[in-house]
Amino acid sequence: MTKPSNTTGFKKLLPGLILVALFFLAAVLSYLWTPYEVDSIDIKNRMALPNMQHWFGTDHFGRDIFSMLMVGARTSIAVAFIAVGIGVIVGVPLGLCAAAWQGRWLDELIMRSNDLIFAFPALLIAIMITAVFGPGAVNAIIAIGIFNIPVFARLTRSGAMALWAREYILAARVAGKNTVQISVEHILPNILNLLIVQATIQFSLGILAEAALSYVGLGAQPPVPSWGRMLADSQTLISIAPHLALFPGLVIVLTVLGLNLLGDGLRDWMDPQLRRQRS
Amino acid sequence: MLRYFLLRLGSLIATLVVASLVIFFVLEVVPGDPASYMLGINASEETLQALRQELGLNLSPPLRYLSWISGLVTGDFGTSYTYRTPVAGMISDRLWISLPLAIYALLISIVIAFPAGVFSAARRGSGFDTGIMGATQLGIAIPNFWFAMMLVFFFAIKLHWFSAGGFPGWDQGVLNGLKSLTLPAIALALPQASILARVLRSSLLDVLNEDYLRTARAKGLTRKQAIIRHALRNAMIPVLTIIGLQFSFLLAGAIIIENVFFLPGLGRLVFQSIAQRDLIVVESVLMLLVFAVVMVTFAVDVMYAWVDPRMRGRRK
Amino acid sequence: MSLLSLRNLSVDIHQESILQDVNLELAAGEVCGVIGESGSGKSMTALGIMGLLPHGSRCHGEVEFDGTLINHLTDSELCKIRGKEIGMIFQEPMTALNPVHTIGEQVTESILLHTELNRSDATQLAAETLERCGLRRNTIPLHRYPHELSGGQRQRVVIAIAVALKPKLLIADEPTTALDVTTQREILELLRELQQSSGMTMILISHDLAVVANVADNVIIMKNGNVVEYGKTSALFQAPQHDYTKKLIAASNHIPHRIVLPWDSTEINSAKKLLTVSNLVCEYPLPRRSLFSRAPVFRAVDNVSFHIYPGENVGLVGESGCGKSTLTRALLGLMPVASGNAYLEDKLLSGEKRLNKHTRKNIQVVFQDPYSSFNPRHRVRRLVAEPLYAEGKSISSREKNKRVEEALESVGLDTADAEKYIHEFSGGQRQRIAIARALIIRPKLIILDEAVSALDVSIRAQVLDLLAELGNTLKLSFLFISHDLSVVKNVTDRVLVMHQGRIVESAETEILFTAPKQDYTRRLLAAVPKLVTQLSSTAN
Repeated sequence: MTKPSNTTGFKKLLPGLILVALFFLAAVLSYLWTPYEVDSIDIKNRMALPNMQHWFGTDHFGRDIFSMLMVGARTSIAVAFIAVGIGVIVGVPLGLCAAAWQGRWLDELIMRSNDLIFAFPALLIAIMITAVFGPGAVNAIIAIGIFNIPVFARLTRSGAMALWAREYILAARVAGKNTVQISVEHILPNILNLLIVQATIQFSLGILAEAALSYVGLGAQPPVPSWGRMLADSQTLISIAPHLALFPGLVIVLTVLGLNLLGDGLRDWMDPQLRRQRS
Repeated sequence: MLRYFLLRLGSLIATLVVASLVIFFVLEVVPGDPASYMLGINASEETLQALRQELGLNLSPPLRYLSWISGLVTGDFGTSYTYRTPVAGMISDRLWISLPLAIYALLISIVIAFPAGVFSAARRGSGFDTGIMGATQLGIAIPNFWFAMMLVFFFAIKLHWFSAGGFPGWDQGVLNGLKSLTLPAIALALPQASILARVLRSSLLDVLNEDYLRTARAKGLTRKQAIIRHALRNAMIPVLTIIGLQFSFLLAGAIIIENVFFLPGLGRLVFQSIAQRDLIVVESVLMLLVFAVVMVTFAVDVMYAWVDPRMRGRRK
Repeated sequence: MSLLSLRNLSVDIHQESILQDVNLELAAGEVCGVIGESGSGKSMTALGIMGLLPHGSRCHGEVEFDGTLINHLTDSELCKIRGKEIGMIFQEPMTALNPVHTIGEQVTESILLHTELNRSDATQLAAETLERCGLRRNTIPLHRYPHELSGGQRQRVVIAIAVALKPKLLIADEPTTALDVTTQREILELLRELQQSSGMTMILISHDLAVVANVADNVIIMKNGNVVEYGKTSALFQAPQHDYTKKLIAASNHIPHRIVLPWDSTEINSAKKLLTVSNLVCEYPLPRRSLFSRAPVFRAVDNVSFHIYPGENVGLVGESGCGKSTLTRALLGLMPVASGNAYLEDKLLSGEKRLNKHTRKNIQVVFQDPYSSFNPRHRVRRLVAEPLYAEGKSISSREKNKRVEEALESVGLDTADAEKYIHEFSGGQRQRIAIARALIIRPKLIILDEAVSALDVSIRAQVLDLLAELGNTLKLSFLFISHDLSVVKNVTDRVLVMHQGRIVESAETEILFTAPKQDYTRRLLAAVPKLVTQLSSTAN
């Protein structure tokens, strides 16, 4: 584990880190400043091509696309972040319990409920919730969040189960520590890498899912700006103003790409096996 | 083998039963009175009563559940409240677009992913590998509905190779039908193909490190022969899981993509029904989609046993 | 003329030198043993000959096989030699076979690849080869899958693949390391028989001097990628020239200095027992045959009774699956007991669900694998202090630190090591830390669950010395659990032999090794490859 190897590992993280940082920065900055107000309608200037005043052009109401994208980043972050949070907060303890009592009824119950949720892709959950409660960003969060639970529960369980067979767990049990103490002291720190990497991946999937739900009208509702809905609005105008569809799409692609690169980079950087090989 | 099959079948039925309970509970019990939900707050007591009578909503929820389920099993999906036609007929028309679209996309995904995954694993570190990995990284990041819009812009609006949307109907010839599904299928398939190619590559790389690959090389097999005869089948085990999961994503994705291409599939039906608060249709479409997903999972489980003899249980 | 010559064979992987100028001449029909500890480059030599070095490695020098310089051949030319002229056997039979193909297919494949035989003739030859390797067609038919076979049987399939086409050279890389001692003996006999009947040349690679000494004509000793000594087996073992060889031989026969219990058996019988186990039974549930029948159980420990006196070293030997690990787990409270009981001094060992405080303070354990025995995220200080949890809050953190430092010093480590993480230590050092962790609570009994099995022979000797010294000074009792009888022989007062869940024989170590009463014990003893007898027999 010499210093240079760590920096080369870190260098692989950089592209992802920069893209993600830009995306977060834009969201935070949007609270303080955007080039234009997102709700300032300027019919004279509608569907303007990118120019010095409007970097990404304007939409069919003459609103500045760049400003809308900045504000839209907030929605994406909020939805994806809370959805990942739901997955982690519910899924990880469930996975830890399932691994600690593996083969018992609790494990069976947790794993079978996971199978059940896998039968409902996030979109179906969203449809179900929307049909009853009406559309909205909160429903998108719940739908994506529910779908994240089994993802984290399974990952935690399989990671934890491999660790439960380790001899250092036996040593802790010999010392008299109980299941909860062992799960928190010995299991959780050793699967943290796995969870962090998965969280970045789920984050990127959450952004894609939020965009898709907003696109079909099941996500954030007007006037909350959202990337998915900007795409939906641009669809009928695509033959006259393709740039309306181009920029929101590119922003989604770059954000998701950045998160995925960050996830891959983190995995390589943190994976102790890879590190041992490198040193 | 039979034991394994029966166990899987049992868990399939259990999943379906629990899923139907969940759908029924959320759509018919949670809203309180489904009749007033469907008609809105301003409906008079008489019209409400009439609708309850028509849809059998006077019964208690457990009885309603039983009659819904027995209807589903016998092919009677109930009557749509807005269209006043049997739901079964509406769904089956739409299903003949959504299902072929998902399968078409799955085939495209497999056809692209297999060569890409296998060759990049076999030539790890080569320029080809780096190129494929970069392309798939991008492919995963592209939202399929945006990609669909871009395809429409280039191939329909600019080049006029395909129509921008709509569906002529299968009675206008299978080829015409397939042609109008091609752009949607490509849009759906590309991100999934990227995932599949990556999974296949990393699964193959794992298998290539196994001891039995070294045994195969020590036998005198060339690298290529060893990969084809010994690595591929073992690498298929995780890939099968992904293909199974992908089908459910493709089916769900098809619902979204139909919006881009104005295809009269299940997706459009379900969004219209949500807007019109037609719970009966939403309920049935959801159940059908869950059924499709569960069936695919079952098929994958059975294929597992075929690929991996260890899953078949020990011989006496 | 020699069949195989290595001339200045050097290998480096990613600029790191693995082999340096290895030279070797092998005559046809010769059996050459290659001995070395882990990292000595012995497996790389084998892979270098086969042209199967890992990705990213570079090879210099010459490998001449049967008059051809094979390391300059293209891969496809080498493929015609591999499997036909040179066969190879690997260490790990559990993973060396493809799990999705039947054993018949896997043997037939190499025959079809190198001959013009049609499929049915090839299958016939495969069946004959498997029979030759001791797998009878009526008990192990060709359509079996690897997972349906035991480790020894799988190794026979691997051997059948390697010898199906009667190769001129057979390379066996640690072919018996993963196997039980009686299976090891059978496999070694099979290899010898195959070698003698066909006059094939063989390279036998092992870390175990005794295994090689019993089979090889010539031996090379490797260390850090160099050949340190080469010679006739008998000459080399009787009069080793190189210091490293002398050290290896000494370490293999090492007898730690230990105070043997001074009492005779009448005195022992009146002493107060430390551990008393009576009629202990442990069971595992098996999968249910049908939904409604009760789950059958597998009795892993069947009515076991024994005892340990204070200061006594007891060995528990048995092959894999005999129930010794389950017994250990039951004693440590990690596994429920079906019936019977165990007392530590006069207190019941386990309470309702888990070990009581008294037991936790007095029994500790050292496990086999020095790599998975420690949480990689904690510092040594925290790792070693873990058993102090049994003391509860009665112990201050200053006292804790003092105890950690004492424990580290008592196993020959530095107090500064307490701040390091576990990956900074070698396997031998880790086993010392494991012993420190066991000592910190000042127990009366330490269970050593294969604690030295994973260590190289020279490191093993050091750890055994340390244990003997600790036993002498701290008046500890040890329960040595091992599959390796030679380890147990030199460090115990009494030995229990376990077979199929029962203790079949129990006697003082001397007596058990010189006059075993049970057939199973005799079989076990006969199977142990012995370096000492080999040396004395060649001396005649």
